Amino acid sequence: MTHQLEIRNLHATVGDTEILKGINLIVPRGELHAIMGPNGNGKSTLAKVIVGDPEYTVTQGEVLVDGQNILEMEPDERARLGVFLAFQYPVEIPGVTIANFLRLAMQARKAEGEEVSFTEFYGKLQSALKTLEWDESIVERYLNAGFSGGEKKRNEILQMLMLEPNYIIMDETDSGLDVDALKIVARGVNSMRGPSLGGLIITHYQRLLDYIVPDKVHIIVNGKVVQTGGPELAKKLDSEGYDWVKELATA
Amino acid sequence: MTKFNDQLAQVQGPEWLTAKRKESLELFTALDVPQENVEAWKYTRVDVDFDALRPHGKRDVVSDVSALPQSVQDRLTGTDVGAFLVLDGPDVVYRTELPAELKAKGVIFTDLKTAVEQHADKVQQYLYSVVPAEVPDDTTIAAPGTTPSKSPDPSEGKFSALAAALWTNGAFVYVPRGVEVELPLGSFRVMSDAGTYTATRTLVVAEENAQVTFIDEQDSEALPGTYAIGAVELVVKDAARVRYVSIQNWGEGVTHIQRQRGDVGRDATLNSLVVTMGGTLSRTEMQSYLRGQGSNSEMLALYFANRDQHFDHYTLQHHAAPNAYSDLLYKGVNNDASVGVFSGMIKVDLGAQKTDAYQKHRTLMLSSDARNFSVPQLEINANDVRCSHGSTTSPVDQEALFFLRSRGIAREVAEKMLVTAFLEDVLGRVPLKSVVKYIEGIIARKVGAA
Ligand SMILES: Nc1ncnc2c1ncn2[C@@H]1O[C@H](COP(=O)(O)OP(=O)(O)OP(=O)(O)O)[C@@H](O)[C@H]1O
Ligand SMILES: [Mg+2]
Repeated sequence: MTHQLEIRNLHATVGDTEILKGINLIVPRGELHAIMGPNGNGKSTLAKVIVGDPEYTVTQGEVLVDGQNILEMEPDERARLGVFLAFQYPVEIPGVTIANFLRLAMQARKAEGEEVSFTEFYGKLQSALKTLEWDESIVERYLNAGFSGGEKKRNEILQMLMLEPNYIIMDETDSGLDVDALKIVARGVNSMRGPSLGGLIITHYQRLLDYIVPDKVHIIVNGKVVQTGGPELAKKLDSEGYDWVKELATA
Repeated sequence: MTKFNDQLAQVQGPEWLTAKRKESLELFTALDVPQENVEAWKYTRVDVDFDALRPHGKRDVVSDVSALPQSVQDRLTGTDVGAFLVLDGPDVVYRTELPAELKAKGVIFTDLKTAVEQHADKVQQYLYSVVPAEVPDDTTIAAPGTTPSKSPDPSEGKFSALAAALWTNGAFVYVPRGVEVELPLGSFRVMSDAGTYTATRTLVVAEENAQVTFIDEQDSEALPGTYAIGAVELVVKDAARVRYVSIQNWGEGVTHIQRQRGDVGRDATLNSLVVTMGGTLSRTEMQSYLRGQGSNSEMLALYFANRDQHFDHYTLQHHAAPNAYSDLLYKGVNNDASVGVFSGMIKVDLGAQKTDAYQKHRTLMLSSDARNFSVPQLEINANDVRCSHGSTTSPVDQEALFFLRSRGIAREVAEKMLVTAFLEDVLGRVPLKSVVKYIEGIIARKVGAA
């Protein structure tokens, strides 16, 4: 089995509009790749299509997780396979406490008849909260209800730490974070980094990539990967902006 | 109707009460069951053959909790009420006493029949004062020359007349001036005789600046063709605070018709929570008559109807004095082929300036076969008021559903979480830990069975 996330010629539409126009990417486990690109060019769409957002229709292509095409799978099956998206705009769900939600999400990964034990849950929770410098009382609050933008992002990382995915996709987790929060989030991600974790880090800013150094950087323009390079590519974008890549797309 | 006359002979009482009962029975006999042309009953038909109805059988008083039905025992172990009555059908079968310290302060908690004997003056003063036999006349007071508001239809008094004439028993709570009762008081009502009816009545009186919480719970096994007719009177004197919770969890086949009404004095507060889960047809009225200046009423409800359940919630926020505040939030779930009806009246009398009256009804529809009728109505006769009403009906939030699923939670589980969350939202406003826990349990069972 090839331990990688592979995206092959992926096309996706919303309504009649094609947004992804043939994305090709390979992210082996052990690597984190940055995805950059101007606003409205399909980065979030790619992320959501990978996790099975019903808003989007895949018209062509494949998404292979460890060699298995996941496009026919339900969103929850994909998640249980170890794919995790930290959303750009996490939803608020009043009435569902974080604790209850995390427990059910962990339970969903268990075999039938097997229960998440208190020690397993509580142990993981303690260590995740410590990494994120968060007080335990947070988990009694309703999921994201009334949370600040930064708290919502931190909550996404909390879920990531608790659910221990194999592939993470972070969609602008850095936006809206102050420097301290950014460091905390980066610490959370780096604590998971290792040979069994692969992922995509969608961002507009080098400042996140200073803390989470990517193995590769891809630029998406108009629904396609137009350029791939090393960490230096992100630095170039930071200083020169996107004008030159936009030209690449029309070329 | 001769049968009802026989029954009248069986519910004894002093002369004033017997006279009242007789008069109420005459009214009952004279009225029709409300029909479709009656606005307040437009979507709910009660199909009942009164001639075929017999009263629920009497049940023996038990001396020990262990002799009560298992469901009641289970319920009692989880409750923190300070004292309670258990009624099976028409009468009390078990009770606990008020703590001595409350008795010493003059608090009375007993059944209404006993109260009629032992506290005649108080009962006579208040009984039928809030929920009379006839429909209360909530016609608004309008400026001269303007179109008068619609008066209620007399047939809206059909069932209250029955409850006034033939009530067998119920709870009586009296809290003297300035006394605060910390732990809730409660009545647990069960029924165990199919094809019958019970008529019960509850009277809660909180004197000036007094405080009390009363929990009114109803629970039974499936009982085909069974009717529970009830009246609840809440007298909230100036600056008093009353919290009233009714939890209707009758079994399948039960028709539940209950009018609950509070008369709220100056600077007084009435908080109500209506929970409707059981029965096949349920009509629960919650009415706040804001008599005093600066009075306050919070009206909350949650319900979950499935299969062929028909739940009708009628509410009234009648502002009769200035500077009063009322805030209503009703949240309901409709699954399968169930029907939900919400009629919410806001009435503001001439002179009730600076009224704040809010009303929200939210429905979650889980099935395309389910139906909901939401009828908000405003009659406003004062010019300096803030009123709003809104009603929304929506399916499960798809974005939230996707979010939960994206964390690995299966669709079915995620849907249940969202339904539960939708209802729990209301409970966040109820500071009664043990009752909330009980309600959460009922919700979980119902959501799980959906
Ligand atoms: N659900 C949707 N309905 C309609 N249009 C959509 C939807 N989702 C995305 N789009 C459109 O698809 C295009 C790509 O959007 P996407 O969110 O993927 O961009 P992005 O690269 O993530 O941008 P940003 O950097 O601003 O986050 C945009 O034009 C957007 O308006
Ligand atoms: Mg985006």
